[in-house]
Order: sequence, then structure tokens, then C-alpha cells
Amino acid sequence: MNQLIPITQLALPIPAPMSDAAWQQAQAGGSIEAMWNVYLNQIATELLCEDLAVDFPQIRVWPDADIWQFVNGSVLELNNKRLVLLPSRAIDNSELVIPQEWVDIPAWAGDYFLAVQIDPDAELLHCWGYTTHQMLKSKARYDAVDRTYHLDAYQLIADVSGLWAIQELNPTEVTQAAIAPLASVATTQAENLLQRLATVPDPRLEIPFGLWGALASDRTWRSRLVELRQGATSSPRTAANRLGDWLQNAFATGWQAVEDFLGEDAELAFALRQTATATPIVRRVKALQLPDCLLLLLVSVEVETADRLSIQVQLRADDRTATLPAGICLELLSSDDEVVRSVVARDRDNAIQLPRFRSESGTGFKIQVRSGETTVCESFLV
Amino acid sequence: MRQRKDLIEIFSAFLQFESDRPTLWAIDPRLHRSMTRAVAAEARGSEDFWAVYWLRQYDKQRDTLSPALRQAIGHLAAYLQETCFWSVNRVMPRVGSVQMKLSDCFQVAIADVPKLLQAFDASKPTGLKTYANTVFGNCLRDYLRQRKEVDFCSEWGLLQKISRKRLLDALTASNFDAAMRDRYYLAWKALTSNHSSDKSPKLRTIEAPDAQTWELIARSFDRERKDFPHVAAATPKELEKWLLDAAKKVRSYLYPTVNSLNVKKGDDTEADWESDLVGNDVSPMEALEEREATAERQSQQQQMVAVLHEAIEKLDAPARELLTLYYRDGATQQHIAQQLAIPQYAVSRKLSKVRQTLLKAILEWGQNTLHIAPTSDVINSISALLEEWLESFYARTARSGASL
Repeated sequence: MNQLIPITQLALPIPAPMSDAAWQQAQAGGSIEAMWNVYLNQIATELLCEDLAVDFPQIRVWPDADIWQFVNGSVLELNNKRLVLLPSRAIDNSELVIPQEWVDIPAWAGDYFLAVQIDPDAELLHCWGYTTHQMLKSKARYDAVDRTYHLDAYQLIADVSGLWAIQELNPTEVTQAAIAPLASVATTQAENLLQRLATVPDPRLEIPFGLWGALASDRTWRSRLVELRQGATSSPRTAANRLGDWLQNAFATGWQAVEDFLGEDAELAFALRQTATATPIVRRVKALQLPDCLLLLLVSVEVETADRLSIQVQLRADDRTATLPAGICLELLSSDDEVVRSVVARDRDNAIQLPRFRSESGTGFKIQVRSGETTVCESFLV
Repeated sequence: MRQRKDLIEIFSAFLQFESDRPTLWAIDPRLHRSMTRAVAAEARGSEDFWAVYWLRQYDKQRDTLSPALRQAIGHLAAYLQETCFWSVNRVMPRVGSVQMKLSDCFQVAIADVPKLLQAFDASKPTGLKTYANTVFGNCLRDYLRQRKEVDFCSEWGLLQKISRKRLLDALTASNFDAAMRDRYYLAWKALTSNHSSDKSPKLRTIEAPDAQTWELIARSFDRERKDFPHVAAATPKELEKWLLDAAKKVRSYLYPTVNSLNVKKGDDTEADWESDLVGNDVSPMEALEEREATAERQSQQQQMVAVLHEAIEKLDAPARELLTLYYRDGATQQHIAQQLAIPQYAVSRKLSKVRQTLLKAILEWGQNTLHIAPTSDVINSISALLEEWLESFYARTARSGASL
């Protein structure tokens, strides 16, 4: 595949571990667009910085990864010039799309713009052209709907090695056209705007560019926006409990040591199904509030092998003398929400439990408690 | 293939292929008449003169959609036939087994002449042929690379791996009207915003969206179409149908048809060309200017050649061997990698670095001798000059049996 890339352009293989790590990082992103931004920009910055540092040891990466939640593009700094990387997974190289943020925000405006194609299948990074801010402003077509500049492949400088040659011969070449300053935004106005942007699908298109630019380019405001948007989309209930963390003694709020609830009867609780074991067992209990009662969910986790856990789940009334409401149902669901196991409380049961089950590393499951119309669910990730 | 010598033929004839080999030159009657008329008005023009002349006409008509623009493009496309052929011919052996015929590769490359002309900077010292030589090569390589990748992709993978522009170009080429294009575009936008695999970034064989995802896609589509009043609601089944159709259109966009750039019959009438007389207004001064400019260019090029000779002398032996293998022997990067026992991507990196050294030599010469600062806007031109020189220099050493 490399033969099809002219030697005037830059082609670098993407090491599999780098791709895996970047992909993992990308899963924490919000939208699918943000996910791809994180993946592509992470690889672009890491790989290019590593490669260019050989000839240009003074090269630096902008550390702000949260930008990728909103917009594509990352920055390498070299010789006091900003090199804006614009990665894409498109294989056609028809045009270079540059978000307006990198052109018209004075604090962000690039000197050079590098078209970077990243192919996760061919595991290849390919720089197929570049341009300067000046050239972009004079030749590019502006799309007001998306707030992006567009340059046809033919309008770019195809010989990317020329960029490095110029960094050696003429690092102070004039690259930028004039950029109008953005009006400053008062703190109260900013807070109002951020609140508004917390719930809209595409914040960068919601308010006039000048205002957006001022918010996005301010580190504090930008991270506040990321926070607000994360809060708006995820609820504590649906976040999965990571059992891997449990084995490291880290627990999400709500999960407490069994001893705190049942005192010496903790041992009694698990006497219902005893297994003699030398390996450590992690046990935690969480209080579940149902409309007319408080119940306790007990989860016991045991390491069977490096990738497999043995898990036991019990539901009991909060008072050791009390009984569970009859008909209450404790269910084990697979990650596709299919009911795998189910147990129903009869009259005068004070505890019910699911048969011990095994789960492999990386799988998810849910524990559901149903009482009449009410359902309470806890997600787990092994 | 016979190299054209007759001036009128150079600007009005197109290469024909038979069984994938170039056979004869087919004259386009309108371009022939136009050129005959032009030459009658100015008999002393050289080939270079007329190239510059038609470039100037192109520039004058640049933003119009007039027959005069098409006329200029036609003359220049004819002019570039040999350049395109040799460029394609040079690239093809390098890329290993290619399932494409030479004639098809030629058509793909020559079809880019209008775009090439739009980007060509006539103010720079590099002539059109030199510039086109590099562009044709890059264009063909890029095309073959895309085709190879597309062949690996399922329909859903393909839709994830194209740009918006590629989608719209493919739909336009299929003669979709604006309404259909918008519908398909919104469906694609909804798909790419909602469909992904969480297991891996690999896209070639990504699974089709499941029922849950189709619901999300339909909802996104419904939200987005509010900005497009002429787009009606659509069910997931309809969206699926459109998207599969879009993938087909994108795929076939990469498979060349016989409709290349060669003069499109029926677009312009005889009368249009007769009336928009271009070629009757050649002034003697222009011819003189051109001769002077050419002479100056030639002198500069001679100096540049000397600079390059010197720069190559200064390279170490491995670097020179690399250049010889690549330019004189036309070796593939794979072959060179085997020869030198290094990974293939290292070959392209080394070649790139060597070439960069030579590029710097020219830029430095330009700075010291011509007082032209090395800036980004000259890179395309200088790079094309360098490429052309390297190709012809090593071709000469091949013929003379010399090695460097």
C-alpha cells in the first residue's frame, strides 16, 4: 500500500498498541463524532510528534484533549509556529476541511495546516498535503452552515517534505493573514452561555462564532462546558460498577462494607451458600430504596482466574428480622438485557439469592430488582 | 506511440488506445480549426508560446462557464497528452500488480486536467508540462490507492470511510437532482452520527446497524431534515435502501467510464465556437515576450541543474544508490526494501529525506542567487521541477549505462 503514496508525502505505520490505547481513550467520549475526534487526533499527535522530534527535537504538542469533544484538530508547536493537524478517516482525500476555530480565533489560529489521513484498517497515517493560513484565507471556500473552510486537494501543497525543508531554511516565513480579535466575554454572560450549551446537540454551532470562540479557547470555560455536558448525559444510576476496581479496593458511592450493615451477621448472610475458599472475597452491600421499603443488595466477588470472577448476589431486607415483600424478584440480566436467572421471594423469606455465577473479564451484566411496578437496576462490568 | 511534432496537432489531437496500447492520434475537428486559425495569425509561435497563450486565455475565462473556457481547456488537454502518458507509464510498473489497463489509468489521470489548470500558478517559473507531470503521477497513485481500499470494504464500511464531498460528488455524477442528493446526504449524516462499533476502530467490514441503531438513525434523520423543508420523513427501511444505493454510487464513481475529458460532443454548437473567436487576436509583442521569458527560464534551469549535480555529488553512497534504484531502474519500494534489507516504509522515508536534501539545495540556491526567499508558495513548482529533472537525469544515465 505504501508504494501508492508518493515519496514527497509522509506515510507512517500506526503501531497496534497505539491504536488500541487511543481507541480505549476514545470510548470515554460523548458522541460518536467526539469518539472519532479523540481517536484520530490522539494518533496524529503522538505519531507525528514522535517522528518529527528526530529532526526537530524542540517540537511540542498542545495538551488539551478536551477540545476534541467539540471540534476536530490538534496542534504541534514548532519554531513559534502552530502546525494544525487535521486528521480524517476518509480514504478519498477529496478536500481538506478546516473548522473555523483554527483559522479565526487568534489564540488558536494555525500557521500551517496539515492534511492527515488515518486508516485504521490499513494501519497507516498519511500526510497528503499542507497549506498556510494565508493561502487558506485567499483560496478556501467557507461553509457558513458548518463553520468550516474547505480546500480542494489540488489547492494544497502536495509536497509535504517542502514544509520540513522550509522549517530548516526559513522558519520565520510569513504564514498568517490578519486575524480580527474576538470580543471579550464577561464571566456572567459566559456562565449563562455555558448553561445553555450544556444540553444542545452541537454547541459550536449554537451561538455566534465570536462568542463560541471566546468560550472554547478559554481553558477554564471549556472544561466547565465538558463537565456540564457530561453531567447532563449520564446519570449515576446507569454508570456501571466496575468490579475490577472492587478488587483494587475502590468502590463507587453507595457500596459499603457488609460489616457496617449486618454486624457479626455478615458471616451469616453468606452462610446460605458456603464455599470453602482461600482466595480473598470482596463483599459489598448497597441500600436500594423502593417506594415502600429499603432493601439491601449484597454482592460478593471472588477471583477464580486472571480473567474470571465468581459472583454471588443476595437481596435482603434491611432489618435482619424483617422479611422481604412477597413476590419481589431478583434477576440477573446479560449485557443485552436478557434475563438469565431469576429468583422470587416467597412469604417470610428474609433473603433471596441468585445462584453463584461466573463472568469473564470485559463482560457486563445487570442486577435487577422488581417489585410490582418498580424496577431498580444496577449495572456491572467485570 | 508517435511523438507529435506538428504544432497544430499538438494542440488538437488526442491519444487513442487499442488493446491497452497507444495507437494513433485522433484530431478533434473544432480544436483543429481553432488552432489553424490561431497559427495563421501568428506563425512564429513555438510550442511553449502557444502553451502560454492558451493558459492566458484559460485565465481570462477562468470563472465563466463559456465555450471559450472549454476551448482553452481542450487545447491544453491535447497539449498534455504525452506528458500524461509518460507519467502514467512511469507509475504503473511501480505499483505492482494492478488490475487496471493502461488506457483506463490514462483516462483517470487526464480527466483531472480542469482541476490541474485551476490550481496551476502560471506566475511561477515551472512550466505547465513539468507541473502536470507530477500531478498526473500523484493523481493516479491516489486513485489506485483508493480503489484498492474500497475493494476491501463492505457497503457499511465504505460509507464510514468516505468524506462528505466524495459522497456528494458521486451522487452528482449519478445525475441525482438536489432533492435526492439532500435526502441521501441526510441519511448518511444520520448513519455516521449513530453507527459505530465499540469493539474496534476497524471499518472495512463493520456490521450493518442493528434495529436499535436504526431507530436512532431514523430519529437523527428526522431532526436534521427540519432544515431541509423539501425532505419528507423516512422509515428505517427507506433509509437503509438509500444508504445501500449511495454506497453503490460511491463505488461506481471510482470505475472510469469512456467519458473522459476529451471534447464532449453536443455541449457547444459550431456557432458558439465560431463566434467566440479566440486565436485571432495574437499580438506580435506576445510572441516576443514569450521568447524572452523562455530564454530566461532556460538559463535559470541550466543553473539549477548545476546546483543539483553538485548536491547529488555531496550525498553519501547509500543515498545515491537509493536514487539510482528508484529513478534509473524504476524499482518498486518493495524491491528496494528487499535489496537493502530494510522495511518498506523505511525506504519511502529515506527516499523522502534524500529528496528533501535536494529540494533544500534548490531553495538555498534560489535564495542566494535569485534572492527569492524559500516560502511555501513556491514548493509545488520547485518540487515539480526537481521531480522532472531527477526523472530525466536518471533516464539519461540509464541510456548511457553510467551509474552515479
